[in-house]
Amino acid sequence: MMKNIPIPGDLAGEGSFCGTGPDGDVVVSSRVRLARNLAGHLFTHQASHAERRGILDACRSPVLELLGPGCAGVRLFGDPVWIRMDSAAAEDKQLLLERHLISRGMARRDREFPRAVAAAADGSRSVMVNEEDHLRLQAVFKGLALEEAFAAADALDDSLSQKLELAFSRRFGFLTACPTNVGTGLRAGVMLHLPALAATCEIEKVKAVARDTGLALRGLYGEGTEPMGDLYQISNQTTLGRCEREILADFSQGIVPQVVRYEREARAALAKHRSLWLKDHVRRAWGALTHAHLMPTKEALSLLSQLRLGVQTGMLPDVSDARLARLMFLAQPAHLQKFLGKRLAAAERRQERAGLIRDALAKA
Amino acid sequence: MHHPCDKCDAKATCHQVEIFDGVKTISHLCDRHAAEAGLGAACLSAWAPPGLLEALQSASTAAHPPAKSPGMETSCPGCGQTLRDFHMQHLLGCSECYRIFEGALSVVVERAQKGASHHVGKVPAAPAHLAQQERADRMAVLLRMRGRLDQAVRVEDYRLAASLRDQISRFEQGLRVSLLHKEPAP
Ligand SMILES: [Zn+2]
Ligand SMILES: [Zn+2]
Repeated sequence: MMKNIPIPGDLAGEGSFCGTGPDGDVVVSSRVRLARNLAGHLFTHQASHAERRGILDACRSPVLELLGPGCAGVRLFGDPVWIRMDSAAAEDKQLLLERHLISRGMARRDREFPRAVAAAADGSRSVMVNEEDHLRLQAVFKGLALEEAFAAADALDDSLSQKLELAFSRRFGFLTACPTNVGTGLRAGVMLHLPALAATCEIEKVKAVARDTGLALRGLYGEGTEPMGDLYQISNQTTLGRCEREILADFSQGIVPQVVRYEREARAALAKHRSLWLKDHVRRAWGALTHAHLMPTKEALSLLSQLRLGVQTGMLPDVSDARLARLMFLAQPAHLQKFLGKRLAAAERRQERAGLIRDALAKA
Repeated sequence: MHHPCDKCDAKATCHQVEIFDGVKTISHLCDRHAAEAGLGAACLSAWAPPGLLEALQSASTAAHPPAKSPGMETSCPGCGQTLRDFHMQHLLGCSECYRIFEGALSVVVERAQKGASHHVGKVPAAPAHLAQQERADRMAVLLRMRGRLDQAVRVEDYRLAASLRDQISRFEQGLRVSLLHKEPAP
C-alpha cells in the first residue's frame, strides 16, 4: 500500500502541470531557483545536528505562510505541503525528484538529516530547507514562462526577507555555501524537448551556443545526468556580477528563442527532406508503444519523444501533443506508481507502463 | 597534479566534486567522457581541485595581497573552517568565511564566476539606513574601478582597460537597474 502524501500539482488531465504551456512544442518548463542562507547560522553542511533541526524549525512556519493561499501577491489555492526528507518514503522522494521539487542530493539516503521541502498545492512554488544552502526558493511554470517564474521566486524572496534575516554581503551579495552560487544566488533554467536537433546530431551546436553565452546544457535531471527522451536543460553558469534581469535576458533575448527556432526548422527540414526516414521512425515508435508488454522508462521516454516529433511534423494528426507530453511525465517510475496508486517492483513497472501507454494511445 | 580520466587513459579536463553529508566524491573525466556524462560546459573545470590550492596559496602569499590575507591554516572565528578545509570540500562553513578569507576567496570567486568580483543586483529588503550604506559602498566600488581604469590607460594596458570599461558599464547598469527595481521597503 502506498502512503498517501499529498503531491503538489495534479496529474489529471491535459491542462495539469504535466500538460503543455506557451511554446510547449519545444519548451517543457521554465524554472528559477534562488539560494539563500539565514544570517548568523553555520551553513548546512557545517552545522551540528541540533542546529540543522533549529534551522528547519525556524523556517517551517514562515515558509509555509509564503506558500499558502493569498500570499506573495498571488492567489494560490489549497494548503501548502511540508514533506520531511528524513521520514518520507523512497518513492515519494523519487516523485518529488521527477517533479524537480527536490535535488538529487535531497533524494538520497541519510534518514537522520533534518531536511524538508515545502510546496504550494499546485507545485508551482516550493522551498527546500537544509539543502546545500539553508533555503532554496523555486518557481516552476510549464512552457516558456521564465519571466513569470522569476517574478514568483522574487516575490517569495521579498516576503521571506521580511520574516527572516538573510546572509548578505555588500561585496559578494547573497552568501552561499558554495562560491559558485554567490551573488544573486539565481539559477534559471528551461527544459527543452529537442527531438529533431537530436535526430540530426545538432545538439553539439546547441551546446556550443550555450557555452558561448555562458550557459550550460544538461540532461533531464540536471548536472551530470544523461539526456532522456530528448529532454535537455539549459541553465546559467554564473551568479555574480550581473543583475537578475541581465541573467534572464541571456535566455529570453538570446538562447531560448534561438534554440526554439532552430528546433522548429530542424523539424520542418526533416519533414521536407527526409520524410521517408521520419515516417519510418515515427511509425516504428508507434508500433512499439502500441504493442509492447514490457516497457522500461528510458525506452518509453525515447519512443514517446519520437511520437511527439511525429505529431509536431504533422504525421499523426489525430494525436494530441499535450497528451503525449503528459505521458512522458507519467512514464517515469514514481509518477507511474502514484498515478496507478500502487507500489510496483521494477519488473511490474515495465509491464504497467506498457499497459498505461497502450491504453492511452488506443484512445488517441 | 594531472589526473587521468576515470573511464579511460586520457587526461581528465573535467573535475566534478560532489559533497553529500560530508562524504565527498570526486570524478575526473576527459572531454569525451565529460560530454557523455552530460557535463561538458556544466563542469567548472576552472574552479575544480587542480590549481585551486595553488590559487589559494598564491593569493595568501602575494606580495600585495588584496586584503589582510590569512594563511591556509588560519581558521574562521565563525565556524572554525580553514582555507585548507575549503580546498578539501569546496564549501564554506559560514557567512563570516567570506569576510575572513576575502582576499584568497576573491581569486576563487573570480575563477568560478568568469571574472566577476562584485555583486550586482538585488539587495534584501532592509532598514533604510542599511540601503543607503549599501549604495554608498557600491559607489565607492565604482570609484575604485574608475581609478583602476585611469591607471590602466596611463600605463597603456589596453586589454585591462577594455575589460575594466566593460565591467564598469555593467556595474553602472546594474546599479541603475537595482536602484530602479529594488527600492527597499521602509
Ligand atoms: Zn575518458
Ligand atoms: Zn566561517
